Amino acid sequence: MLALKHLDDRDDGVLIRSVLAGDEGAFGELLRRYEDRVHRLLSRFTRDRMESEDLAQEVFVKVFRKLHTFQSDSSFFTWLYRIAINTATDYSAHRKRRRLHLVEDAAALDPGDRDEDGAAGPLLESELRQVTREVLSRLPEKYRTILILREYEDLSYTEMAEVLGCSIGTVESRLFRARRRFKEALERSHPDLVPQMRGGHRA
Amino acid sequence: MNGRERDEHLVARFIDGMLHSEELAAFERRQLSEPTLRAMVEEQREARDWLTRDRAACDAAEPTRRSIAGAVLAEVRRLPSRAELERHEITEAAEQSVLRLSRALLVAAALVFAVSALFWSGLMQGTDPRHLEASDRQRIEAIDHAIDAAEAQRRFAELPPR
Repeated sequence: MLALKHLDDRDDGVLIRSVLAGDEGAFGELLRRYEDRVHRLLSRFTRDRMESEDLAQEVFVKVFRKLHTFQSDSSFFTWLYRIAINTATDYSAHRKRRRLHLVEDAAALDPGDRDEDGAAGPLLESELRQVTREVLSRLPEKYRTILILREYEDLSYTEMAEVLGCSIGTVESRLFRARRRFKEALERSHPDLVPQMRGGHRA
Repeated sequence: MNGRERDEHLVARFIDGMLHSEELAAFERRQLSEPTLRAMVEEQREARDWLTRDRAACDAAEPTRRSIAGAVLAEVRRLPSRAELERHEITEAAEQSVLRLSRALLVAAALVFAVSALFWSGLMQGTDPRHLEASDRQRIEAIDHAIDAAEAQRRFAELPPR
């Protein structure tokens, strides 16, 4: 128990050096430490549990393979996030190419949630998730990614700049534009939901 | 950075609560007198609030998931040794740089070919001084002709009437 506690307390740098020296247990510890966060991040992109699990697995195998390229002057967490984001965006591009998302988007909105005249009661949570997923999937990748990092993962501007490999100024302007594009896309595709954005009810 | 871009940065930081007290006070004063700035803030707040609601909905609906640790460790055990992985990485990097270099050479060759084709088809004028001289000569000759014609016209006009 004491040994386990000691293992848990080791910082990332120590664990990484142990993994590179051949200690599989240390990699298991890194995995357990970040598994939840990586899985959660990926599920923001895929919005599918199974796909997120598959991608998380892929991410950690990549991490193991490339661990010797990790520069210890940066944080392991941002390096890991970068790999996860690249994996998620590759996956999205692949999925777009296969046009799978079109099929999903067509089925995304449950017509049962709407009244015959197109107006309905307050937005259901499932509908909110589906509409948001649909709108996010239409945004350029860089805007979708920054919205996920900020609005869903609560990363600070400094962390986002590190993960995305850009300046804080770029983070600020990209975030502003991403929110603007999101709102415009939502207004265009679901004009009836706009009053709900302002906290009211659907027109 | 122009004024609009500066405002975009300020609005983003305001929405995320990143402005420090002096900046915040100045920004709030500006909002009172600048409707455009207020509209920018409102737009950003609406988008942010929508996404916050979606995040809460997603978190509430998140199903329990199985740990992937076992599967990852099993896959990692099947990988080659660290030394081989590093060697593979170096080979891959070398292949990538060769590929990048080949691509750059190919693009350069295509550009040279395109410029040559344009040149030989006459669509692109060369900078040979003889071409410039020839065109200057033609221009001077044209001016001479114009002067001669004007002179002839003037002399004709000065002829006494019959």
